[in-house]
Amino acid sequence: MLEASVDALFHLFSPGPLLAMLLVLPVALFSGLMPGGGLPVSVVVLSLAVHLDPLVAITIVVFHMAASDITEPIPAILFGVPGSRSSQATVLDGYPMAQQGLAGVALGASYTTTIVGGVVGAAALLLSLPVSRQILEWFGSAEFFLLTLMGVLAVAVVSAGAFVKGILTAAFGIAIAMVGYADLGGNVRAAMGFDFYLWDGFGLVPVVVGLFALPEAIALVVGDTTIARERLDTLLREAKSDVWRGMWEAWRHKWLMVRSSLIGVFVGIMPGVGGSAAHWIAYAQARQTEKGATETFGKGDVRGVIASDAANNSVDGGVLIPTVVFGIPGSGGMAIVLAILVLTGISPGPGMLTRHLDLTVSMVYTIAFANLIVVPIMLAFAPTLCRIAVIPPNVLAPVVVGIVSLAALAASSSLGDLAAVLAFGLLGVFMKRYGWPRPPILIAVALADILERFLWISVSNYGFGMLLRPQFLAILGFMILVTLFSLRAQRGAKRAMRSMTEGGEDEAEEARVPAGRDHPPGPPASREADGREAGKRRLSLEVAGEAFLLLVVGAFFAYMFIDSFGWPEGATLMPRIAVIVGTPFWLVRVATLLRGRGEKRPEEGDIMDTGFILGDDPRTEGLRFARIFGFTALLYAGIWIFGVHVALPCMLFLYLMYYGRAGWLGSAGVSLAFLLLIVGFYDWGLHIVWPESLLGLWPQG
Amino acid sequence: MRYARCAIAVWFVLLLAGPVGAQDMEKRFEGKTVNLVVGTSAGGGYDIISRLFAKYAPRHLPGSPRFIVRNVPGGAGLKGTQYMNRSKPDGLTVGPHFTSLVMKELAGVDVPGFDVKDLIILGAPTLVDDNYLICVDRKVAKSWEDMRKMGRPLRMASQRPGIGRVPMGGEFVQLVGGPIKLIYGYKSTGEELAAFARGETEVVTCLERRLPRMYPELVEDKRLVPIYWWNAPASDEWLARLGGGKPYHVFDLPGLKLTDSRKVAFQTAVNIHQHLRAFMLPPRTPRPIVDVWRKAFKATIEDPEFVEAAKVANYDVGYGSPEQYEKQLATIQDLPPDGALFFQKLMGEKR
Repeated sequence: MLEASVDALFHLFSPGPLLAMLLVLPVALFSGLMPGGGLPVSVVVLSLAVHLDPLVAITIVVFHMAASDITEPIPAILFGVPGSRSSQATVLDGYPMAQQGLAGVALGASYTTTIVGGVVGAAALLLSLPVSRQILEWFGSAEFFLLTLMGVLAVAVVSAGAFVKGILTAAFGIAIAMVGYADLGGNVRAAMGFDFYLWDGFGLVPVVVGLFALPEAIALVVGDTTIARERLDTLLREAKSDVWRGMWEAWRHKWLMVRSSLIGVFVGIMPGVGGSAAHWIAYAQARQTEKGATETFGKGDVRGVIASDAANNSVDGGVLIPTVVFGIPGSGGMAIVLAILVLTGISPGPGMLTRHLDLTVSMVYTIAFANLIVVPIMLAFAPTLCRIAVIPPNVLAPVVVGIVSLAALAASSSLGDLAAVLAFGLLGVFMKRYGWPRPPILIAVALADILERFLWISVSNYGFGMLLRPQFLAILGFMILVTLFSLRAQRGAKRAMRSMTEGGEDEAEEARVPAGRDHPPGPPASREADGREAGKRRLSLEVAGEAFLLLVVGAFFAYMFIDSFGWPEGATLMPRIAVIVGTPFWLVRVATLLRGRGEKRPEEGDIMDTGFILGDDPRTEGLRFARIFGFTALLYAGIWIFGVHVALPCMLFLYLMYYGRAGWLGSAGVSLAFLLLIVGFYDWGLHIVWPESLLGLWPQG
Repeated sequence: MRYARCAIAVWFVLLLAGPVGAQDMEKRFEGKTVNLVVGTSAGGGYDIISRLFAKYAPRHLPGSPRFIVRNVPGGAGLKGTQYMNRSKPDGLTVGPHFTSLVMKELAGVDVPGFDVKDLIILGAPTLVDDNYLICVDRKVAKSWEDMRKMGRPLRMASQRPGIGRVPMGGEFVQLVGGPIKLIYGYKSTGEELAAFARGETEVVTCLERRLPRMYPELVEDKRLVPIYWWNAPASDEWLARLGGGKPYHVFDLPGLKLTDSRKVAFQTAVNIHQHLRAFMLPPRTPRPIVDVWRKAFKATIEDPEFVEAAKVANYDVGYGSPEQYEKQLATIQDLPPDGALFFQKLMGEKR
């Protein structure tokens, strides 16, 4: 082992791998900043792999993966758009922090956590190599199922204050994820007549973009939270110093960092569970165990960013274990690592712990090294990146819509995905506006497939006997303990909060004022109009909005349940469980609405959301909503008719000119940048196949 | 006289067409880009073989065109196939087809946007006489007879009903009344092997190239008892390493409800699966282009450097001709009704 460690060190710092890392560094930084851009870039690297030395090829891919993971939280924090499925939880606290002018703190904490997470992950990988096989062979599908369930149940924790809505939306998310071709039954489930488009079900990218990115962009415009120009310089100065404050905050919560990092490694080791669940589990445990977290998480608590990012980075070390030791990739990125290994003549398997141990150890070093050099670079540029947080909404929002739409389109090359983005976008806007938690849907959609597979395997293999397996019982016991501890912690936190607010409401109110914003202080509900007329209008809107959401969810449950009677046995288990579990919660919500409590709005933290910042004129807000949503719809229609190369730059130019007031030069510059991005990055770099437009103005390939 | 003039004109055209056709092909591909459409994400068998093909094919096509690999994942290969079907039939789009889609169509499922009749196959790149050997965990049973006496079916991991060539022998025996129960839901062959190694399943396909590499302890500890094989017999060396008696051929297993048509259905399905990742051209591609491509395809697959590179990437390659493949498709289409029904069951339909 020692010999391999020394060999690996010499290999890594030989000219080939060093030069490779230097060349791939800017690419990795850029791809991490592009939502959904990380994985396609590694495809370019893959296409070069057959010409490369194995060590160089592996170094490039692992370095790229680790380095882009570091920059992934940036769009999550600044735009509210998760760069990948493993930075979804970062949005929950990172984005509210950016909205409060604390982007620097969030980024500083994120980078520090990243270093710790990456290094802990790498060290854990190194230490666990000799015993990892034994650990994995001790767990079976039943335990993998339970761990995945733990990931989904994080929803109940995340939505602690809106428990009914949390479980209801999680069940709805699982039901949505069940749409499409079912391997276990050999049939297409609940495709609503779109059998071909929905063959693979709803893609994660359109769901994420629709439920999260679009509503956030819309909220920017509707709230029109413009930064006062005179405060801009002050803010940037603050942002610079705030990065160091963020680092200090991370250091203050060092045990949370270490704990979350270890969770990342542990969950990452589980084949098939991987990175998508790790950061949610870490986030949930932080919310359960950290003092006062139940009240502050989701409102912009730096500990939420720390927990999520630590697990997100340490998970890389964990998922490498099943990939190299068993040849079972734990994520899309790992499938590429696996492909590179075999393309360069290295067989994944136990040989990676004997013959190729130096290569395995060099991966560990590469992850650690990437963290150590990328973080200082990002620290230097973080203040510049914070400028994004103070761009006027009518400039920032269309650019965000453009970037995320491009990511959605490039991921699937399907116009159907744009329609799905609009549909989920509308749903997301309603959920955000009327206080329904969105994260549970996302977790459920991300994990539903794994959950269904492991449940089916466990039931087929063990029947009820799965409940008696010692490993299963051990994990179950741990889960129960954590839940009990959490309930106790929540009760304590609520008592503490009550005593605090009784004595100092004024201070609490002051603390909620987002730095540098012009809008009045306080949570959205308290900022609503005082006027009776506006109040009445709001009340009817609340009821209508809640009714609309219940109608959508109820109709989908009913459709799925009725449709399931025509499906083969294997395809029915999970969808019916989702509907049967969700229906009582749906009925509770309906009863609440009928009893006239529909207007009651939950706290922002309860739904892990910032809600909409509303003024006193619903008509103006309605017009703003119509403008940005109409822009998005027209943009997608334009892409369908004229193609992405023509529609996206033109539509952006028009919006920026007339609503963004960015001037001829600025609007043309942004449009041109988008055209260059499409042609240079997606066309030439990734060879993306775009959907054919109606007029076919831009030739393919 | 009029006919004579016409005949001379036709002769003159044909005379010119020969050399012009060859030059035409050179011109057709020279300086052009061939889109190699892969219906899966990057990584994995389809993508790796395609990328290797893209590296070595230019030297065998007239005009040495440039190749670009485009991944169009979705619909278990359906999206890529549809993209291919919509492409111009000019020889500049090519890609591997998906056996599972072909099997579905043959089993009577109408796959949207895909028709077996439209297939223009160039040949298969990985046709080798793989030996498939089913083994049982020695802790559970020591022979086929032991398995039958146990009074319950033994568990074997699989991905989904009717999929793939690896678990097909288990699927077949389960359908004809053997003591095997397929547990569906595993994601890959790697996961299937892992499930066996941790004792979650009791029967596994002993892959000679993969199993000793991934789980050497299973072989060293003699945990595997060979029971039966199909396609090609296991080598004596492999059987000696495993220990245990001589395995049966799947059709010789005692106590199964076998008929001739069932055997034909199974054997043909195995043969079609052997043509995994066969390459195709878009429908209506002109015959001269198809001929040039078929020649280039064969030359690429037999190119020693391609063979070596594939071997390094852990893929045994072997050329399978389009004629062989078409013959297998015809056999399935000509099955008697009971054989056709059995084939549908084997493919996971009509259960």
